[in-house]
Amino acid sequence: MHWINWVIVAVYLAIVVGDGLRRTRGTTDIEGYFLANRSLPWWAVGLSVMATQLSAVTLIGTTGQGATDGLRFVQFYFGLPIAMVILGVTLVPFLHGAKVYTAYEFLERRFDAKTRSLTSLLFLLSRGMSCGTIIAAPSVVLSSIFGWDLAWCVALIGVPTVIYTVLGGVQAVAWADVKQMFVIAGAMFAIITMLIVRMPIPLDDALHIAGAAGRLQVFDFSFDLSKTYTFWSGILGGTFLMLSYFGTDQSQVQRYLAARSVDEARSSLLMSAYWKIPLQALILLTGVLVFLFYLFQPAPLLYNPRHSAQVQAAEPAAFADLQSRYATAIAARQAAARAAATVRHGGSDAAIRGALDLFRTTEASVTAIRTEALAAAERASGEPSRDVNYIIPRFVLDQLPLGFAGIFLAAVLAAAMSSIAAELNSLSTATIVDFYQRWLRPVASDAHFLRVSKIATAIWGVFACVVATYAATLGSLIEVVNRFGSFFYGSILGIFILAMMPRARARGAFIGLLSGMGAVGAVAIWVPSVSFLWHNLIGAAVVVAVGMLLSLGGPAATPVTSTGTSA
Amino acid sequence: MTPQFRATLQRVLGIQLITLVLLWLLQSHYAA
Repeated sequence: MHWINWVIVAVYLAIVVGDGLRRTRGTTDIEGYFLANRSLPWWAVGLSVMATQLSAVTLIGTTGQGATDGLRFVQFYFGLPIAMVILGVTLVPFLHGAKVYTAYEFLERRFDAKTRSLTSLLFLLSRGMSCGTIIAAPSVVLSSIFGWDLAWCVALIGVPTVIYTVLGGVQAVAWADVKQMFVIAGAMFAIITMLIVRMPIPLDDALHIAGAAGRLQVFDFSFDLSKTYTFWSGILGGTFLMLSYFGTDQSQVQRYLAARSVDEARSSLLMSAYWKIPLQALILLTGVLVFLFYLFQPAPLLYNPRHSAQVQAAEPAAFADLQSRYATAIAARQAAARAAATVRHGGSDAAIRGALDLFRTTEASVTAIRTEALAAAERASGEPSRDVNYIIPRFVLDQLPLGFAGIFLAAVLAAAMSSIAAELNSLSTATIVDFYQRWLRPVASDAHFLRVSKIATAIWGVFACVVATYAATLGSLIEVVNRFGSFFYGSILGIFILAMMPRARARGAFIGLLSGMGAVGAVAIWVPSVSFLWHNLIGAAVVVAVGMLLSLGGPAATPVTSTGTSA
Repeated sequence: MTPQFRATLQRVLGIQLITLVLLWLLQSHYAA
């Protein structure tokens, strides 16, 4: 990589880490370290929430998905604004008003210590491992693209993040997120601008070709439980997923617990409600524009250079044959795309339809050859190809002018670091508040709790980096843990719904939680065709149903009001 | 629900509706 790109990356890292170090001043207790003394303005919390959710996988994987699959993935987020509004009037006032450090602490006030400890433990188990995968995903891509050692890529992302998270706590995390969100948005706009400027045909014509290739298909109204991305799975399943994520996941809850007031906490969530769908649509559209750009440029057969080299070494004759057929197919596709663009200006309807049909046929040929190449890559490398993650990085490095690679790398680091920092901060909070302080050392000085909180953050940081470094070896284990994590996401939401129902009792809640997790596990094992987006709805429904059934007959519990006091 | 929050809520739903309509127009205008 050119030294100018390195300077851009170095300046970015220096600003983020330097600011983190500056934020260490004035933090003397864990309320300052974990919750910024509940002093953050709504817009900083809102940008922090958005930056946390926008990981490096979103930046490189989702744009790649836009290039190969179009805009349909945006349906996944249709439930988000609904979830934010529901949370704004339900859980947010309860959690913020209760003056808790963790969402799970609220459950002990409402139910009992074992429900709190179990939900917090489930959070630690799933998020601890997923934090490693958040570092691993971009590290693997950077390692393949630049040919760097994986451990160095993990260190490039992990070490600065751990430093500013350990030293600065949530203040450093939230304010770094704000800067990182601007870096990410700036990089995206720079790339989109370059794509539009360099498009060899008028944008309107190009978008017609994208439409013919199905890349602008957003809505799928079919009610099919086996399809992951439909309008209904997004609206129903997506709402429950987002309710679970933003309402019960400590990495998100901790952001708005740090807001100045309930109204500011609500406003911060509504910022995501405003911008998430347009932002995701824009990210996917960037991928669509890259797809269009490569219609008129020699596109790589495999975007992952390491896999390409491995296939060439393992199956040289087959690779040469694929390359040859691919070159012919993309030349035919390019000619068909140009013809389809030209015929729109003055051609008859039949001619336009014929040109688009021809384009679709040539596009299908290219896709078929790419599918063969991807299968060869999986055989040669012994791992899933995940070629989609390499489309944008290759485009930026191969096609954009000097400096763009640095801006893009800074944006990938920003996206990864903002997600990891939030996870580390919340993992440390749950460890210290829900376990260390609750069970081991209830009384100690502020200085002691601050010190152990920093140590816990550092330990989680080192653990995440180790998991990321051995991600390839731990692949199946990580997948199991992530899958296990999805089993109880909806169930934990169910527990929080029960917590707001006056009749629900502790025993019903705890058994309900176990039943919800069991039900989702049973569905995943015996009805695997049901898409994961529906798991959250099933889990939440079973927890509430079983919890309320087992609470029947008992007196109404002393409700915890939205101001956090017992009525 | 405070009047301020109700106003924000209306804005959120309005923006979502506009976003969905724009996506629908994008899809239908460029559908071949």
